[in-house]
Amino acid sequence: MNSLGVFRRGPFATFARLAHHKVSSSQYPKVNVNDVVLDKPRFGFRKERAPLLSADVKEIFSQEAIKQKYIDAGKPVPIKYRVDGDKIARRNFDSYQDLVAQGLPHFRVGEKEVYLPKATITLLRPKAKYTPYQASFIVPRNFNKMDLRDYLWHVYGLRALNVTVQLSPATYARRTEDNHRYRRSQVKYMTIDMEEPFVWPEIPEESVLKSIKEREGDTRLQIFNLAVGADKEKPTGAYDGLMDKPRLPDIFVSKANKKLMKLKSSRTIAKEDKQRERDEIAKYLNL
Amino acid sequence: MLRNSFAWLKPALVHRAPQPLLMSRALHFSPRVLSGGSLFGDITTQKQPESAASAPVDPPADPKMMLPADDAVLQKKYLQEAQKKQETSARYVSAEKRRLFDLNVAKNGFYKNNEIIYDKENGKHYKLLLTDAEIEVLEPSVYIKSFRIQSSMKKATLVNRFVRGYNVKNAINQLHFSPKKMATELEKLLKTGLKLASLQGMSEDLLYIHALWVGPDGEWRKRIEWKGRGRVGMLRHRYVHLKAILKLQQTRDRLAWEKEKKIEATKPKTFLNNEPLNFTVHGVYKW
Repeated sequence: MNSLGVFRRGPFATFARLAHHKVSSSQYPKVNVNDVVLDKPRFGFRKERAPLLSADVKEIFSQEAIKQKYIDAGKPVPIKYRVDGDKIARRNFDSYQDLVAQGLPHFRVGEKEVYLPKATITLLRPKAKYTPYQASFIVPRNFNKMDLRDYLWHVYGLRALNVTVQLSPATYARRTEDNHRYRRSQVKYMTIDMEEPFVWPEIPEESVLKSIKEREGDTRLQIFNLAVGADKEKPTGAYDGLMDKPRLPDIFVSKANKKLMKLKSSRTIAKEDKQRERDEIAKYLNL
Repeated sequence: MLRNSFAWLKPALVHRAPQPLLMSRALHFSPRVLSGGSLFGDITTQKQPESAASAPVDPPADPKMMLPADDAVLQKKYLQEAQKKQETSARYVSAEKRRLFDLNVAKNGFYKNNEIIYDKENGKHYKLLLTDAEIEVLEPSVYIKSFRIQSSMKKATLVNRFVRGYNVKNAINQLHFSPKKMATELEKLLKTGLKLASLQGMSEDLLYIHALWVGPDGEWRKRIEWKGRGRVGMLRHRYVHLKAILKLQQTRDRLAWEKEKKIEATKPKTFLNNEPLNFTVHGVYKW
């Protein structure tokens, strides 16, 4: 409770809003610290309902089971359980079992006859959330769920029990030449449920390390190629330092001094030394 | 853990061979390499386990697995290339002059031009007269260049003026506690200079900053700054590099000696005109 709240209601209501009004300690609200409850719980005060009868039903054909439970309890069956959905489900389930036993497709086969399928379908490594009973593919964008189901059945004899579609968003990218913005094409992924599990084999350690090394080397090489100005001499460390050549300490020779002294080969310098020696001797001998 | 777990990858990456320090990065040191796993770098020494330190590390026999730093043939080739590029006094001055210069320095502590020196080996006296350019080339020096730095000439000059002419170690000390970005960059540069100087056998303690300058590094990026009322401005992203020449105390001594000599050689100042009269003077007055 706010201390001013008391004065707003009390005899000091007139002065409570004054900035310099000083309240004496005797006028403070009388509250015991132990009585104050901070952060009052906001639960436990509502009416708790008994769990629904449908809550713990685990049968495959649940609608019938739930309906039976309500009837047994002498309660009216909710409208959503009064339909005959399970009848259809049971019929489909039975026919599926039969078709699998006969080795026939478990779905209505498409009518378009394709003898040489052009579509490229790529089996992907699974995401972390997938179970071994799931497999995902990259499919052409004009594919639909039925297409993939037909394709897998006719090419590989694989039963896709359920198909889900994920379409990647068309992200923006920039063209290198003129920085023009465009959208990359979308990619269609499909994930199927399978009868039997499939686990990808592990990638060999060596090839992973190699690819990491190559990729890192490539990026570093790109940095090296794009370097401007003083960065052209910066060691990149690409391919374990294969590109990095040693550089030895230089002395500074200005352009003007270079012009004065002229870069000579050691041979020329030796020749000149010899000539100077000869001149010296000639001077003494008065030649 | 079941599928595609890359748990084995982590230790494999950690145990990759470290980057070779001296050969590939003779000129510049990245902080990653310098730190060597210790948080405090050079200040504290990290004790390595004895077994790891004492065990000789043999390069792998398979040349494909060999690191570039361990490849003696490759490194020899690189070193030869570097030696061809290296600027040394031998490229500009004859061997005899270099020998006499060293004799002169050994005698005086620094180079005294046009002084007579005695060569004990062949028992001869020599008098060596060198041009300014030759002296500049012959005196030991290190020319260091930074990489590309995102800063401006104005900002860099402020820091450069602060340490120009300082002893290198003193300059590093001062720069370390300066809050300027360019101070950090210059400190890094001077540290590489110290390494290079000691590689050449120069004393780190006698090293001073003979010259230090900043230059534009080229290819400055430009952007339009959109302003109010239909006006625009130009944003420039500036890039610079630092260059420095480090020399030894002997250069300072020589310069001081030359200055002294110059003062000695100057004629005393005459306040009255001491020139001969430019007209014929007869023995008698004519008026």
